[in-house]
Amino acid sequence: MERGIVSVNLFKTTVFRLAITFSAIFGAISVITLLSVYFMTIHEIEAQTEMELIHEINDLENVYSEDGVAALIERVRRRDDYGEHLRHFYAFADRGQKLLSGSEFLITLEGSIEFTRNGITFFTHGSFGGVDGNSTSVRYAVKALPDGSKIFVAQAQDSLDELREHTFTALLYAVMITVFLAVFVGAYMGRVVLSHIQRIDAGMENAINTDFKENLPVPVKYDEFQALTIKLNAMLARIESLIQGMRQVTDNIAHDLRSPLNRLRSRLEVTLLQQRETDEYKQVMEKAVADCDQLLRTFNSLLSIAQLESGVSRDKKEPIDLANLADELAELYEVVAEEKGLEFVWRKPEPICIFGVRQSLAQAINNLLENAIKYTPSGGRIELLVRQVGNEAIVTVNDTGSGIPAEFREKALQRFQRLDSSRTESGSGLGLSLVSAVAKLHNAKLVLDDNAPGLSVKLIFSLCSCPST
Amino acid sequence: MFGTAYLGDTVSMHILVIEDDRDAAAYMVKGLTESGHVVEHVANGNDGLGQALTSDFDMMVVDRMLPGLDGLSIIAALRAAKRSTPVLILSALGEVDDRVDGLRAGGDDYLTKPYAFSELLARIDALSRRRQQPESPGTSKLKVFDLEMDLVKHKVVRDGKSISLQPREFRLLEYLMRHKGQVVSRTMLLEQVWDYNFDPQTNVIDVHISRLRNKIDKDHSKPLLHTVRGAGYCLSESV
Repeated sequence: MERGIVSVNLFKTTVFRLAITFSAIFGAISVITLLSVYFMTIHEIEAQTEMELIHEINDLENVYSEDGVAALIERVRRRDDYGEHLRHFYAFADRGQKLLSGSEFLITLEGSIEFTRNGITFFTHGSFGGVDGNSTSVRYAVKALPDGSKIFVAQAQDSLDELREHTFTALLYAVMITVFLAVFVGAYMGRVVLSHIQRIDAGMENAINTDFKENLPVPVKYDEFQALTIKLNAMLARIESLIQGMRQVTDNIAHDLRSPLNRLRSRLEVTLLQQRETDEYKQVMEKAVADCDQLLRTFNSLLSIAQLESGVSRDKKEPIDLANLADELAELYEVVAEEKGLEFVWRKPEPICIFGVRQSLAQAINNLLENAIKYTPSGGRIELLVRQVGNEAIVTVNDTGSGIPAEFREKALQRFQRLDSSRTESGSGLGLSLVSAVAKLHNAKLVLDDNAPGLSVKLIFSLCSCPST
Repeated sequence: MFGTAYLGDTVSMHILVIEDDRDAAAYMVKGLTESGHVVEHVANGNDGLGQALTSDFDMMVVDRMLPGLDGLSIIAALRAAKRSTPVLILSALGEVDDRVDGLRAGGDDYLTKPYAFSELLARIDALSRRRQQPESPGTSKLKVFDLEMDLVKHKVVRDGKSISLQPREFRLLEYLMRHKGQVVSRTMLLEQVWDYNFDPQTNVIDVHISRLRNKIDKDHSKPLLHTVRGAGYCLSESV
C-alpha cells in the first residue's frame, strides 16, 4: 500500500518541517524577549545598587567631615552590624589598610575595578562567602578620605544572581518546551496529514491498477480532504469514461470498419483478376467510390461521437430555441416522410429555450428523424413533438415502426449496435449513439420507450432562461 | 465520372495548389487538369506564399497544416498584401470552430479531409464564379434561360407563368440560380441553404431537389435542374 513519495518518513513530511520551522521562529522570539527583559532588569538593578552605594558613601563621608574619625568608626560599626541582614557590608580602614571598624573581609577583597566617579571607585568581586555559606558576587565602592583612610561599602548581589539563574533556567525550559512541542506537534500533524494522503495514494494506486474503475473512499468528516477526494473521484470517473470510450472506439473500428474495407478490397481485387470491358471497370470503380463514401461517413460519425463524448469540443453553448430548431428540421424531413408514404405530424409550439450547441442538437434530432423514417414502413406515422413540462424541455420522436424490444434498448445506444433484424438496412449503426453523445454533452436524458407499436425516443433537457429572440 | 463529364460551363482557371502530401496533391493536380484547369503545385508554405505573391492565380487550394508557413498564415499574408485571390482551405481539422477560424483568417471556403474530389471541384467552381460575378447588393433579379426570380418581390416566373415556392424552396432555387452552370454538391446545399454542417445519411436533399424540379421543370420541354451523378446538381440551360 505504501509506495512512491507517500511512503516517506514522517520526519520528512512538509507538515513536520513546517512545524519545526515555526517552532524555531517562536523559540527564537521567546528567547529574545526573555533575554531583553533580563538585560533591562539587570541594568536597572545595577543602577539602583550604584545609587545606594554612592548614597551610603556620601553619608559616611559627611559623618567624617562633621563629627570626625571616631564618629565615623562608630557609625561604620553600627551600620555594618545592622546591614548584615540586608546583605550590606561596611568597613573603615586607615592609611595603612588596617581595619578600624566594620567587616574585615571587605578590605582584603581584590575585585576588578568597574569605574571611578567623584572619587568613588566601584569594584565587583566574583564571589565571597556569604552569611549562609552561599557564594554570591558582591559589588562595593571605596572612597579615599583626605587623610588617606578609606571607606568601604559593599552590597551582596544575591538577587541579581538569583535573577540570572532563574532567567537561564527559564530560557532552558522555553527552548526545551519549544523543541518538544515542535517535534511532537509536528509529528502528530504530519501523521494526520500523511494518513490522509496515504489513503488517497492507496486509492489512486488501486484506481490505476483497476483501470480507474475503483473510486477513492470518501471521508465522512467534511474537510478539505473530503472535498479533494470528491474532486479526485470525479476526475477518476472522467478518466474511466474516456478510457472506455477509447476502447470502444478501437473495438468498433476493428469490428465495423473492417468488413466494409474488406468488401471494398475484394471488389477491386476480383475485378483485377482478369481483363474486363471498360464499362465493367467503370461500374466497379463507381461502386468502390460509393463504398469509400460509406466508410468515410462511418468514420466521420465515429469521430464526431468521440469528440462529443470527450467534451473537448470548443463549440460554445448558446441559447437555442428548440421549437425553432425542430421546425427547421421538420421542414427538412417532412417531404422525405411524405415521399415514403408516411404521415408526418409536427406543430410548432411557443419558443422553448435550452443552452446548447446548435449543430450537435440539429444532428441529434436529424438522426432521430432519419431513424424513424428508415424503420417505419409506408403508411405509418412519424410524430415530432417539442414541449415544456415543468422546467424541462422534451423533444420526442415517435414512429409506428418495428420498435426496439425493451431488453435491447440499453444496448441500442452503444456504438454499432443494430438489431439483427435491421442488419440488412443501410447505415452505420451510429445514429443513436451519436444522439446519446449529444444528450450527454447537454446533460440531457435520452429515453427509449414503446410507442405501441413503434418506438418513442425522448430527449429531456433542462430549461434555461433565454433572452427573447 | 469526374470533371470532364461535367455539364455546364466550367471556366478554365489558373490554380495554385499548396499541399505537402505529394500523393494527394498529384491526384488533385491530375483531376483539376483533366477538368480543364491549369494547375501549379507547391509542397511547402514559404514557397507557396512566394508563388502566390509573384504570379497571378485565379484560385488557390491551401492545406491548413504545412511545413514552414501554415495555411492560415499564408492567407493572412496574402490578404495583407491586398490580394483577393479566392482561397479554398483543406484541413484535417473539421470542428465548427476550426471552420470559423479558417474563414475568419480570410479563406473563402473550407473543406475537411477526407473529401470527395467532386466536392472539391464543385466548391472551386463556386468560388470562381463568385469572383467573376461579384454579387452586387443591388441585384434584384436572377435569370436562367426562361426562369426568372425577383428577389425583392419574392416571385419566381418561368416562361411567363408564376411558380409558387415555399420559403426554403425559394432559398434553394436562389442558391442554384446564383451558381448557374455550376455543379453544387449536396453538402454545399445543406451548408448554404439549411446552415447545417453535418452529413445526413439519407437522401434529404434529393427529395427537396426533386420537389423543386417538379415545380420548375414540369410541363416544360427544356429541363433546367440537372442531377450530376456522384457530384450533385446543376441549374443550367445547356444539357
